[in-house]
Amino acid sequence: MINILNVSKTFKTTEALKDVSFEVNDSEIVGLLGENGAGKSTLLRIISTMLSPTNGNVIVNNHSILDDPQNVRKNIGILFGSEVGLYERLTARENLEYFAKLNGMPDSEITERVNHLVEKFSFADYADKQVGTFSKGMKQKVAVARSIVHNPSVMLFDEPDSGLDFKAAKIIFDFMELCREEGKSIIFSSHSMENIKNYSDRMVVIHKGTVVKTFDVHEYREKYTDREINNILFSLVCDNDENV
Amino acid sequence: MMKTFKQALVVFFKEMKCLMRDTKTFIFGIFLPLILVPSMLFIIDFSMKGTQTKLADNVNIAISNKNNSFYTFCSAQDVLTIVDVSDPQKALDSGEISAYVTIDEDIDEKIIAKKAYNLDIQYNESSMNAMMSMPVVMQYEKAYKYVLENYKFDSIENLNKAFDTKIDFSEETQLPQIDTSSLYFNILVPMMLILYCSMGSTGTAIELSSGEKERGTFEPLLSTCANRSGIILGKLFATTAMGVASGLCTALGLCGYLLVSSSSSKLNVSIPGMLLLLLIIILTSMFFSSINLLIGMYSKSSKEAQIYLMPMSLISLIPTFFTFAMDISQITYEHLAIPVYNIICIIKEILAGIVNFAHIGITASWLILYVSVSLIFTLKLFKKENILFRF
Repeated sequence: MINILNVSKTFKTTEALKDVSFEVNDSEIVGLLGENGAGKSTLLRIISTMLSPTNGNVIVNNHSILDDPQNVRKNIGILFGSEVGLYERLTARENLEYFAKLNGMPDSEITERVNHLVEKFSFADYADKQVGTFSKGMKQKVAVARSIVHNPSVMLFDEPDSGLDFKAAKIIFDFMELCREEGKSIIFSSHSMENIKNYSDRMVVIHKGTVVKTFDVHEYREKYTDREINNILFSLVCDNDENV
Repeated sequence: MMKTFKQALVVFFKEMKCLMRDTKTFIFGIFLPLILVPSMLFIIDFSMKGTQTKLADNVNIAISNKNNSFYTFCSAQDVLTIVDVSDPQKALDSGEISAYVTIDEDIDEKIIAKKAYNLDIQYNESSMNAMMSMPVVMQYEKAYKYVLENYKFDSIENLNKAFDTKIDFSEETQLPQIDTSSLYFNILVPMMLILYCSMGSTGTAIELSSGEKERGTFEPLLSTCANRSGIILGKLFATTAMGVASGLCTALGLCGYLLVSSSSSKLNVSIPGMLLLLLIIILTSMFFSSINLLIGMYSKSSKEAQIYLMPMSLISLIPTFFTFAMDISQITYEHLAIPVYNIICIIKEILAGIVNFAHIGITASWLILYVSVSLIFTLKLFKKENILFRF
């Protein structure tokens, strides 16, 4: 469960986030939609404690990012789309072991957990090869496994569909579904309306650092056609002068 | 504290594994320092020996006046060739002659009359050949004056007859003996050690800091439960290890050279001296690593880090220039407080076979202080989000 409470963030003179509040329940995927520079990545960085908010707080499974960042990080797995964030000179298995150790997993559990993930994501054939030799899709599988090596209950996906072909993107979206089935709370940021509509339960539209709309994707899908939803979303994220 | 150290070790071992699997790191951090110093010293030796051999065969000189006892004396020597020149200065500048001797036209008359005479030798001080042939010419001048001071001559004929004699100086006394060890131990070795302790960690520091930002591994790393002090310490240990490896390879290369070289004095370093040299190399590498890591962390990209770090390596060499002419007996406590300068003082002492525990203790303490300050600063920077993400 994630509670985002009146979060604001100012970089020097730029207000990146203004009083952002929403919550993400267990077994729920919340899609964060916004154009480039809307503040999506900043919000995910704040939730993952990489950045601190200028105002407000985020509570992740009863741990505050301000008072207990260590435990917040223990509960969070993060996956970036365009950059897989793997060490190319380490093997897939070594990458997983490294992140497991840094996340404080006991040595006795690491081998078992890594073997489980290697089997789960079907990369046993190349688990002991250096990541530098992998294709984008192979890397993506390892990156996915790395993000959950410490078995987090909250998953953050920062534009996971960016720069991926359909095959690599499918790995991510299948994984996202799997996380929901496992009861995790998920935030998925994207600037693709289609992917947000197809994969989220709830959508938060963010524009210039402000939440302009939050709605249930399933309800909207029943009420409106795809084209109508697109028009609503478009009107939300476009300024008046852009609409003309 | 224990947890931080444990995390630092996890980061350190992972970084070392990555570094050891990188061919570039091996070539530039280990192999190059190992062969660079001995190659450089062998080239210097080779060129100096070549000049010495050339001088053993022949030195060209010109004399202002013929028909005198000095001219007769020089003509009798196999090593000296007297050349006729119209413009002595031009001949010196062009290297046609190594020395020009100006003597009085009536020098022989003055010698017989026991009057003061004039005999000046002029060299081209910018020519290495001329400077190296100076002792050869001076030996003959000395021999000439020795005969004049100890024997009496009653006629010019007898005088010229006495000097029409070939003198054989043994090659050993005749040739200038160039002991390159002073050049090596006072200038080159301390400079190379400093350079490699600094440069050896530069590439690693860039790779482990701004390189991580570029490759996109930095954010996943920061999102783990590891605390930032543990991450930074692990990276510092790995960077230092590479600096130490480069520094040690430089020292090993030097030892290898001294074992096979014949032209310089052998290294006279005791076992405690070697261990203390190792300690100084480790602390020096740690000092440079912490600075390099600090700059690397601040930089947005590897390119930006390189722009800052390349001049840094050269700036670190500036204090070494002030120690070129410094004698180890002149080392004061004030010298030992100056960064880099103090390290060179200690290296010079150890290479001269002196183990001064007080000096080493003071320098080590200063180095520990510099490393601590730099580390605290790096940790502070590492916790500042505007530095990490540069907005």
